[in-house]
Amino acid sequence: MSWSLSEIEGLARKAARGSGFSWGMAEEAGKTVRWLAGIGLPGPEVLADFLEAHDRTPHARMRPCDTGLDTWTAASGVICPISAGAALCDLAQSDAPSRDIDIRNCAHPLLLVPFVRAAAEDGAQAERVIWEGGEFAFAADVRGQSDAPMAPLADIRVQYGVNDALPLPACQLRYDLAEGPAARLAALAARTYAPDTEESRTTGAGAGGADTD
Amino acid sequence: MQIDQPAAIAAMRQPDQVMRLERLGSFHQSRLSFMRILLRRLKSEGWQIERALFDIDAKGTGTAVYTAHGPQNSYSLVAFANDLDPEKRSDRVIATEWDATFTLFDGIPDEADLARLRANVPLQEAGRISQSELSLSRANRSVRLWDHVVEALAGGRQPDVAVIDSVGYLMRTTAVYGSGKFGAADRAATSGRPEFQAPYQIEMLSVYLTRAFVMDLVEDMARQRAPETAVTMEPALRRRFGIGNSTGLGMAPYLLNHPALLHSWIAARETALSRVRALPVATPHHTAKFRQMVARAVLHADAWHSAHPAQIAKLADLRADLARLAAHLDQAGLEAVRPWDALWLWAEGALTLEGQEQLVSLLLEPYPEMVDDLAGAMACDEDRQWRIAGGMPCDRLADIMRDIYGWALSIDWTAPDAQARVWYVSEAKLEPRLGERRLEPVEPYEQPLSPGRDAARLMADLDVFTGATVAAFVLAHPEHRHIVRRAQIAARLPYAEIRGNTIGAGLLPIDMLRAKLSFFGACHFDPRSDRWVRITMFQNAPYPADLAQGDADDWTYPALDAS
Repeated sequence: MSWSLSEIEGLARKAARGSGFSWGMAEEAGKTVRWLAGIGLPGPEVLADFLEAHDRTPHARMRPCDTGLDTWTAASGVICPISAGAALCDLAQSDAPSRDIDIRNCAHPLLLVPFVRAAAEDGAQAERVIWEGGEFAFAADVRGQSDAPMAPLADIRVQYGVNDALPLPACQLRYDLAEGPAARLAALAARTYAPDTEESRTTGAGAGGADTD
Repeated sequence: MQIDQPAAIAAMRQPDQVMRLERLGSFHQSRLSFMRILLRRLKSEGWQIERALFDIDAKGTGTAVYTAHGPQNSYSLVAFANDLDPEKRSDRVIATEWDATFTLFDGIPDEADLARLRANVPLQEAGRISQSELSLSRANRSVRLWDHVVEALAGGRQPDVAVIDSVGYLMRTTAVYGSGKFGAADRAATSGRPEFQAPYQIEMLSVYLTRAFVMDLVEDMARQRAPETAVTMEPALRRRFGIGNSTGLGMAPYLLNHPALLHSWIAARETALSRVRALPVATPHHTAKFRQMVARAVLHADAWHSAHPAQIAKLADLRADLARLAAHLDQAGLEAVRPWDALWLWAEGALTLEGQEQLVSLLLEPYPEMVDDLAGAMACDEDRQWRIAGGMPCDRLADIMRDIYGWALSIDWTAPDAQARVWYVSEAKLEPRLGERRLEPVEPYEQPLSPGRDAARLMADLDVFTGATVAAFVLAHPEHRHIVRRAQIAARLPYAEIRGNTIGAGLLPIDMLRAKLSFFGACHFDPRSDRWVRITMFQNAPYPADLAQGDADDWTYPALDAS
């Protein structure tokens, strides 16, 4: 089914929240997935895989332990691409010209890619992100490709530079999301909804008295 | 938006004054309201609006298409009229059937488009629309007024003015969904078009065309009932019909979820006010216009009715304020240096919030040349404001928090009343609701709609944090990432944040609804509870056929000779 990108973003945000992310980090997941879908990459599908594989994992164990180092690792062994990506972005303004950063054992590396674009923008310098399943380069334009976008784990290098040999992905305003992954994300998103009660139906939305005239 | 004149800077109202819930809940429509921005454009660009299809049977069932042709693009309201079982008529989002349903189609629909839309639009949330559709909405009849008008017209008579004015609309919309909802095109697909650059122009165009359809429909129903005797509505009466709108709690979170956009709206209005206040003199032309608008605002307030106790009190305030304002104008005049600034400073001491905010709107009326251009600054690229500035020192973040959320840091958040409410989303209809924290099991589902409380929580952790930067702080405390983002947005855009407790026992969600609806251009705000409100839209506005002649922007206050 054809989804608008704002629907994709909302679904991803709620699913991430339902899987245990803080609201602020869930917002990052929403933006990331929207950006990927906007160039035709399977951001929603990868997010569904990632959230199910690491459902309700305490965030503290999957975030980068020390972002001051050039090699990032997480206490749990596997690093969260949303947390690592957000940290990259947060550092970009004060860290430019950036160091090269190695992110070890990054879960679902595709989800990290949009953060590198944002970091390139915030740091005002060209950045590349390279892993076994793909490469993207962000300068004046967006270039890149992934031959294994669904890959669940990889070591990632983020480094200064351009790569004009990479293709220019086409932008799109819609995303065709199959029922399967949509339902998996929706199931996680549903955890953010309060079960219906009679009290909530009658008073929660505040319909006072007759609503016809 | 940058503030553009040194003189204006001194006169800009501070966010601590403007962004209070009780003041936001006293806003009135103005020259910068989205309905007025739309009609000014339709008029100045010579838009042509045609009834392309009207195929409705005697039971009131069928399809109609109204197409608006602009300089570059055409848009079509596709309307599906329904013979609704009265038992099913409800304004709540939980309704499943309506008197009429609508979509705004991007272009001119063909037969295949209409067939696809006929299978989906009447289902509303349960259907699916596409990139070709820009909005989705529905409306219910005011049964009382509808029956009266059909009966009168069918019998060869004009409807009774008193009955018309007691309701003000034949149909009221109960939801108008825009950008990206239920498969519709995202705002990004249309935001580059000049006609949709200002906020909510798609939704306002949809409602404006809906009003034309509803008037045609009621006349057609009368004609089909009694072809021998039926008459059409007299032009002077037609204008008295607006489109109603019934708005529940769902709209309230919008203002919190779009802080940068909220700033754009408020900053445009505040900049307009500051420009007028900075004027060294007022010409006789402008003062005469202002006095006339005050007199018309008196009529408007007199015609505004509500049965809600809070609104009855506010209306009493408004009427008394307008009387005080008129008396003051007679005594003090407008001839002094910086007369508008003097008037404003008087009003701050003499009028209630209702009257003060009415005055803001009235002060803008005589000055289209100084105000209307600000409509172009009311949109916002929210993504540009979204990313966290991680390099900011923690000391600076603490200063920002104290500046923006000082009001919240002095609240005892352990007191039961301080956190009495919870915003949550219901599983059944996915609609935002407000629950009682101590009485309902909804806290685990709380939405991030309580910036004040969240700011206090952040400060408790920031006070003991030993790292240097915001990047380090949000890495250690991802639970504060949301409020850090808000605070940094509000530090750049001072009107981005509401400065009041949005989860306290004393919260009136209708204050948030009114702020937003005033920017739409709504009048006759009529709360039905603390979280549910009816309004009228486009009442007294010209119909499409009247746009070419006459003033397209002089309809929001009743004309003096119409009293």
